[in-house]
Amino acid sequence: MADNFMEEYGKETSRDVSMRTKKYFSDLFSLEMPLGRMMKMMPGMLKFMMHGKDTREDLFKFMPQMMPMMKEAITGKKEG
Amino acid sequence: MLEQVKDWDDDFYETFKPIAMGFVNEAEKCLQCGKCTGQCPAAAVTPSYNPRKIIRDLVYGNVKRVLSSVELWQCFFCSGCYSVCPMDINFPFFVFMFRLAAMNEGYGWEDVKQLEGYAEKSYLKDGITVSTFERNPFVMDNIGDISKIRVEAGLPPERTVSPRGIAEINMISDLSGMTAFMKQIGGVELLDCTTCTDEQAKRCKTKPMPSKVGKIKTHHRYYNYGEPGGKKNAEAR
Ligand code: SF4
Ligand code: SF4
Repeated sequence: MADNFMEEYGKETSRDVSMRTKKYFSDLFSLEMPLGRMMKMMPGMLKFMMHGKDTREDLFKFMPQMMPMMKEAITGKKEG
Repeated sequence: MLEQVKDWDDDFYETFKPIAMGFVNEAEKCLQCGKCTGQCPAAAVTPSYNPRKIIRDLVYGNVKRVLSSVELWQCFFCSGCYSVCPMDINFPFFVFMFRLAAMNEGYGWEDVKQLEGYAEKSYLKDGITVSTFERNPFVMDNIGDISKIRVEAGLPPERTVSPRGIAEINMISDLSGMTAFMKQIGGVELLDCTTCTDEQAKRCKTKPMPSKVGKIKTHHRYYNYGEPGGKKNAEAR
């Protein structure tokens, strides 16, 4: 076990850690919708849809707003 | 190994600010007056905790020290520091953001994992955001089980959330990635083994911290702001 944080990080400088941190947050806050991200959302929507009639209706009302996002995820191109 | 200034990333704060969507602001105006630390309840009980030093290190770009510290996890978001800061620096937001960053570096998972049982059992299944499961020995001995007190007051032992509410919570949690995150952190409940009673020991599911969470390799944290880091200060040996 390392004795302190300097040993734990070894040769890595704060600059390396800072690059990783910035990349992590740029991905986290990214507004892009790649297919992988979209697929992760699917089970949630399906579960909600299966819950009952009222939730299903709610979700369908929301569909028109979601379509551009879905298209973007599938084609990889941003609209507009 | 000595810490060297050239090891710091002096552009860090300026380049991070725009990425952080306004969560991390104004730290460059910090006067290092120490009012935040002076009134901080966490600092009053844990001498090495010092919000002023954490802000200083972030502005100087000493990112390694902040992210690998135990101290980053000692704030409990009371916002007292924000209310007294002459420069209006919202330090709790910093803590929130840099805890995420620390987890990405593999630090702090022993704390986050404690929430998993509650998150899956109470939050996703029952929609309850405040757990009625009490494990503080002081509360158990002096006040008793919260659910019994609720029953005496004519309430159900636990709060109840409507099925529709639970479905919404689940969808929001799935869409925001929270469910995947909870699944990723696995189930570990950490109790202080030296103080728990037989009753608590029975319920205890303490497991050692896993060496990996998803792709992230976990590390133990160091006391980077009090006594110099060392084996005797490292947590959870
Ligand atoms: S109170 Fe504000 S200005 Fe003073 S040290 Fe703390 S963060 Fe900096
Ligand atoms: S929000 Fe955190 S740092 Fe600020 S006073 Fe409260 S415990 Fe201390």
